[in-house]
Amino acid sequence: MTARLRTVVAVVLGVVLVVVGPSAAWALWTASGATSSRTTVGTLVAGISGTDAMSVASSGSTPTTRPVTLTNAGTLAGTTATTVSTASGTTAALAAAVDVVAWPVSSAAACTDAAVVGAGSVSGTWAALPSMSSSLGARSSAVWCTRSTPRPDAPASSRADVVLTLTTTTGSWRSAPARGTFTLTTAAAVPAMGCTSDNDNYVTVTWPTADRPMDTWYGAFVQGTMVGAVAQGYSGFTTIAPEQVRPVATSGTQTVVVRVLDSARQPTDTVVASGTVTLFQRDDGPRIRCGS
Amino acid sequence: MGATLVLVAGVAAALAGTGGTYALLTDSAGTAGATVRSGTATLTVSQLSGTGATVLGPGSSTVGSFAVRNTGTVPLAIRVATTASRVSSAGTTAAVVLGAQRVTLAPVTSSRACRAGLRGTSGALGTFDTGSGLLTVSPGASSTACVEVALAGDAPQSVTGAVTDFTLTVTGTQVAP
Repeated sequence: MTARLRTVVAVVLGVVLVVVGPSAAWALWTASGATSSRTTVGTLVAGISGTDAMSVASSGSTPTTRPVTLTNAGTLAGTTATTVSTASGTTAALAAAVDVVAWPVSSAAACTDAAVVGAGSVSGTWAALPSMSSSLGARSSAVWCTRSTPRPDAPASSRADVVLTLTTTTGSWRSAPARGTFTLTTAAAVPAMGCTSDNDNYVTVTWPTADRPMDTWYGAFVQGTMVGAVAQGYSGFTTIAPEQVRPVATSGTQTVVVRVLDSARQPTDTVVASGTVTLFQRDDGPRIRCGS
Repeated sequence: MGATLVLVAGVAAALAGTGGTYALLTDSAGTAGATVRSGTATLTVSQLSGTGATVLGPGSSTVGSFAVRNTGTVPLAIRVATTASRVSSAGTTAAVVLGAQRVTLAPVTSSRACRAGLRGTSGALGTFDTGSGLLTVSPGASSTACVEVALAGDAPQSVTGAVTDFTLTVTGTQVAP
């Protein structure tokens, strides 16, 4: 180390010591405390009930009105969304031949045959029905009233298993689907009723009896009212005069349905034949003829 | 000549006679007894309330607040950080659950002023840290922090049902004198 270098080092050290030396050294105190809490992420759970009672066994165009309950069983509020589909192996054409109207109701008890279609209704068929959408809070339900009306041209002897699928959504989340199923069925095509006219004074209607015991009782009905006399399979016919139809109709074409009667001579759901008769008026009084 | 010698001797004797012996005067008195105490750095943290009351969904949040009180004698610069977290009941990993939750911490005047949407320091719940100097609390004073925990709007559905227990640690560091 040269003398010059030693001088420089000495000067630098001196400056450093002069500058740094007077500063104080201290340690800062610290203290701490803690607090704890919890967050919970909610869930979306969909549930559906009531579909068991929605099955429709149609033998005509009589509406069937049933409630279905859509449930948000999760802990997050959500919006319901429904879709309908037909189970494979069943007749989609039947589902498409049953008209449906559905509307939200306050409770299942408000869903009766006499209930008037309310606000927010959706309509379609059981093959294509718009979503039954309701906004639901956590752990709450919405009841929708459904009214199913088979069309006259619904395929006979058919079965459609309809699947009603429900999901609830919130934001981008969607619940696992909940499914309810019910069945639409139509009876076999009703055989045409035999009919002969006796100078328009009365008609004689006949029906097939071979598939049932001969002592089976039958009755002919117009608009749900029995007309003519009851008959057993031994004869397989009855006669209908205009006067016998008058309580329910006095003119025009009327549908006659022949049903099996029970032991009390009351009609059952079994229809064995169907056809039409026409009531009309002549100068000498009311008349009836076969067909329309 | 003889007279001169006598004079010198006389002056010398006179000068020598002026030297003396000195004694310095001193005195002392005691003071009353005194105590020197050092300062203290202590704080208390109240329970974080409210955040567990609301169930989180995508894009929603829950808020709560806690208070920090400086119970020491020196000002404290406050830092808040997540120091523990535990995830349960989830259909995915803890990392996914923690990453989907974001904390925002903002000083407020009182717990009643705590609401969603306040601007503050934000970070993922699992790694949240305000850094030092979030605020300074003077000795004897309190400050309230509003905590909002939000679930991301695009959070994966696999986090549904997840429960997250977490601990926020408040550290106060003495403000340098």
